[in-house]
Amino acid sequence: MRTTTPMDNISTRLLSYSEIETCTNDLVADAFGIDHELKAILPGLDLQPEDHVIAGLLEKIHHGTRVH
Amino acid sequence: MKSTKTDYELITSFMNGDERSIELLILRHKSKVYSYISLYIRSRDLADDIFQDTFLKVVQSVRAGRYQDDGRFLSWVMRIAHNLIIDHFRHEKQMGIVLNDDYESDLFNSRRLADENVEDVMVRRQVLRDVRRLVSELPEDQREVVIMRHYAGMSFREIADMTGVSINTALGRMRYALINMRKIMEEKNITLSIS
Repeated sequence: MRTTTPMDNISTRLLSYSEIETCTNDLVADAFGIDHELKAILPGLDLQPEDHVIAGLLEKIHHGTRVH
Repeated sequence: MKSTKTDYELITSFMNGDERSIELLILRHKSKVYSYISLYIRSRDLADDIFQDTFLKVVQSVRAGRYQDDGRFLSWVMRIAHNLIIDHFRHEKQMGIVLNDDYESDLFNSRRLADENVEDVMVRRQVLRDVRRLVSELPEDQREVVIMRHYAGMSFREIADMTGVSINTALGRMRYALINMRKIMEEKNITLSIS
């Protein structure tokens, strides 16, 4: 285990990538402006399965259907 | 119907017998997972099957205690979907199945879209066709990175893990992909409407 040093008390702790990662944003993509560039080229699709597909899936889950 | 619970909290409550939790998880991620599958699979029926199989495998693994939470549930789901897509193409290749150009049209002949304005449906169909056309021109490694980031919402760390390369390599592929897409759009005169 790492020993706490006086520097830890007076400076910002160094965080690893996984500690600062968030669900919706990606720091790497943000830092390099990649999301901005992607949005300028590619439109969003937002494709969705139909309600009956979700209903069928929930039914299968309820009955414990297995896939291989 | 949204939940403020995290993915892991929903999984835990599903493991404790609350079936409603898995429904909330599916509803939360359905669009990203389905968009991802649909960019590779042109047939709506097949995309529906792969979508269902993806979540059935998720449930199987969770029930068997094989899910280890590392805060990346969606990335894990995408990996399962990705493997199922690869299995499908492998099977198709073995069977020598060839698809015709009309194969994708049923994606938009759904009941949900039947209520939409005809013009909107036409635009959406054209946009999907153009997106597929554009990304299909990219080398496989670049195409993967674009779809995983832009349509599946995966972080570069997750993309790197899933494709077995470093974050720098994934970033490099994305850089080349952006350059190539601009070039292809110019050469082939593709203009994508931004929704």
